[in-house]
Amino acid sequence: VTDWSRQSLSWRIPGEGANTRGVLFVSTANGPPTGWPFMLRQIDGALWCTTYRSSAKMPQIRHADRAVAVLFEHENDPAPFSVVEGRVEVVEPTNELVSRWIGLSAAAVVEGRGGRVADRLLRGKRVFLRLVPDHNEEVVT
Amino acid sequence: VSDRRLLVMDDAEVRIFLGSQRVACVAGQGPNGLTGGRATYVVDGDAMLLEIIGNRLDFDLDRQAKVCISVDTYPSHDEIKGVVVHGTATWEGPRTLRVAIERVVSFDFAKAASP
Repeated sequence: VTDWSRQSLSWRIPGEGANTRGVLFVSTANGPPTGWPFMLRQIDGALWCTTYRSSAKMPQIRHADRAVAVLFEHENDPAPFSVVEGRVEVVEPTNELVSRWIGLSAAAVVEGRGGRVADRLLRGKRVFLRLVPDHNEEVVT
Repeated sequence: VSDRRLLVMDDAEVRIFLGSQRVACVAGQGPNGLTGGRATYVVDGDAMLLEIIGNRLDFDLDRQAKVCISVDTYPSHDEIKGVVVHGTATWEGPRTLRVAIERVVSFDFAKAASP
């Protein structure tokens, strides 16, 4: 168990601002789990990603208070991987947040993807999702 | 991608995709709430047989038999392909899970570029 007040995220998770592959799982209102693959980034000790405000996943994420993210480096390698559990929140984009998001993704901006996502964030079509961790485990073998 | 319905794979495409991969992320109800991990798998008819990696997963299937499995590939942004399986799980061994495939959500971003 990681004490988040004293440690940064797992060494398996790329550093601040770097993308990592993962799947975000939540429990649905009637109980069974559901999930979605994402590119997640670590910012200020939390995991962030973006999605469309109108997407089908949004009601389920808004309903969930907790989420589990399974993070991995290579899709064909069973291990290593990290599991991060914590509170999941929908965060409304602000100029400051979007600017920071863009600034942390220079490569994507150059390719035009960061710009498009940023535009959709600023126009309110997309929102941020933030997973605030309180538990982390790593599986190496 | 404006219309997600255009990205959906048909049943044959889903089966081919799942058969082409071997590693999944999986989540279910643990003793203390939702928990997740990784597994290798094979498709066995209308089910998936998962071998859980490590020993951290302790699904409480008596409490919640449904699990969620995600398999996706990301060669590039325009070629993202994935299948999310919802199904009922039973233990077949200490780390072996059989999941009856009951509902599938799929997406193939390459379809957005198709005429």
